[in-house]
Amino acid sequence: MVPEVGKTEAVTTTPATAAPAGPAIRLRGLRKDYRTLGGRSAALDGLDLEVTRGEVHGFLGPNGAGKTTTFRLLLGLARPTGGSIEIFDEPVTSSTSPALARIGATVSQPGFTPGFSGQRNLRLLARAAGLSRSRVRDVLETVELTDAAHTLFRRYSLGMRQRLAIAAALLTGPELLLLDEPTNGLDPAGVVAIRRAIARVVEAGTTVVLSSHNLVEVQQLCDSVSIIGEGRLLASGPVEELLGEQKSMTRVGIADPDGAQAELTAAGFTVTRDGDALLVSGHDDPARITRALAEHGHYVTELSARRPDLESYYLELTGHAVPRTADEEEAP
Amino acid sequence: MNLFRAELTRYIARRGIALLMIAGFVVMIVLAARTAWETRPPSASERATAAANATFAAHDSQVLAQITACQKHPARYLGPGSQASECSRALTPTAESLLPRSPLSLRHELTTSGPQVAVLLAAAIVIAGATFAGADWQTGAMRTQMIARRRRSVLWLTKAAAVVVWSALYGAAGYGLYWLILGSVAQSRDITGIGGLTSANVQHILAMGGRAVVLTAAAGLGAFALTMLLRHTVATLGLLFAYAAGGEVLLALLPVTGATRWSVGVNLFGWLQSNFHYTEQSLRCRSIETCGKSHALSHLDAGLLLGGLLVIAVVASMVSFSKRDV
Repeated sequence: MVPEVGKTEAVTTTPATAAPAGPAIRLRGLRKDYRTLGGRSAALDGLDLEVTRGEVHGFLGPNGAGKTTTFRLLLGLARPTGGSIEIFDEPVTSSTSPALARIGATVSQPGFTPGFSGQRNLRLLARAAGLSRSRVRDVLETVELTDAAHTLFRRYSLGMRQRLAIAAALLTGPELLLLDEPTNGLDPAGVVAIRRAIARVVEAGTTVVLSSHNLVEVQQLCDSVSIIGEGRLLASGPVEELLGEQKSMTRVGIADPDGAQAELTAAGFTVTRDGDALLVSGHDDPARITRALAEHGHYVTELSARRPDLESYYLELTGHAVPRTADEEEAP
Repeated sequence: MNLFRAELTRYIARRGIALLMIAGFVVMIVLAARTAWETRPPSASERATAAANATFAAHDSQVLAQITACQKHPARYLGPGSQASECSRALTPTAESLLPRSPLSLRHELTTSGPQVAVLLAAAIVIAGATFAGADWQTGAMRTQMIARRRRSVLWLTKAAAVVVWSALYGAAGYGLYWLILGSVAQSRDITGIGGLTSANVQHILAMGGRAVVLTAAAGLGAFALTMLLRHTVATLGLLFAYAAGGEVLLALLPVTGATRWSVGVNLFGWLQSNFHYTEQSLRCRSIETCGKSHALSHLDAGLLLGGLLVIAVVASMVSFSKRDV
């Protein structure tokens, strides 16, 4: 089990190494209300967040938690109802704040002119920003779209569109890159291509904030994560530290789970049911479990360690039940 | 300048917009061809038939009776101060008057097909301007551009400038081509006098051309501004249709006289045509005297109404684009 975390109280851990300067992003009490028929609804309800410079930060939360709204506020595309935003220690007070020029971003679906090639779309953006054509070549190379540069955007696959969006975000050489679910709906090859592109950007020293539903990917890519729910920060910190807060558990398959649960509880273990099996915590040696069960005539059919992972931590934190796989359902 | 060039490319290089503009040109050329065809010189057989009909009519008893009656009371037929000797010439049909069609008259076209062509070009530009902005909103390209260019007012103004410049060029080219075709036709047919390429007609054509260019530029800007406000091409075109068509119906049904002054169509032609007159069109017009009366509408009066509508659309659009969440 993960530690008890109230939905309105954030668990924030401090990064192991101190950053040379202030954070890339600092949000304080950020609030965004939308008018609805019945009055107002809060998309963000006092969000506090810090992202350290130079790291890859995962931004997680269920649908409707406020991830995209946060990105839109960070980019000046929407105005906050309350709270403050600082980018690289500079306050962002309007859509023309200078700090915003240091951000590149992809928000929601990639938006380009469908009848123009990927290269032409980028060239128009580059020309408007007074950038050279070689810059377009560079970013196309970074996202591995050089071969498809002359293909019309409408013929691009979803993965190519996402990569073009990243290329557009990279045109001005941003110090902070916001990527809103860049791997959403992609096939494995597309995900790998995006991952490689992000890796190149990170190598160049850019701070990356990545919102994603792919928690395995976030765990692999990100140095730290923030988890939000209902517009508030639920947890934030380096991935390792957050996972360290999770207790390790052992899954025990057994013929008589009810009897075994009673015996283990009496022996001082914390036991929960997981279908026909048991999840046992509160121990540091699985042999103690088998011994306690064998002493009472219960013999285990399965004994496996449940390692802490971001997925279970996230699901526990956001109040979602952990879905069990078919294999788990059928486990003896 | 870089941003302007980028927006201009974004505007004119869209396939849909390019096709629409070409279609507007094609329709305009078809109109010119139709005008040329419908005013073509009569053939020898048509002339012979007209001459025969004129000879026949000169001996027609009804015509002869009319001439006799006219000679008794010339003022009643030909107006005050007329002489009896004029009746025969005035009332006897000539071969020219019995020809199947009139020759090309540039003066006549200045009040008929000329303004229509200008309105047609403006209509094409309205769809193009609305498509330009609407497609960017629809595809999400607007958001991408807004992330790249933070100053929203600059982005709006640059896009608007691209629309205005291209619309004006398109209007000038289309209108110019139309009159070039008609002028060439008039010259090739050796049309002289009031219907030919006189300096007065050329002056009128140029003056109306200037107003047509302003109209197409304003139409493009208005459609662009409305679409930036409504963020949807169909919404803009629907609103314009509702205003133009619904407004005409409403004005016709309103139980007030003088409402026709506010009709979009009347003001469009008032802006384009010199010495434009309109009559009250309200279905519920109470006095025949008022309804049948012709009213003059100056360029200034028409321009003030259309310009006022344009300013409202532009201001609302700019304010909304600067303030609203995306």
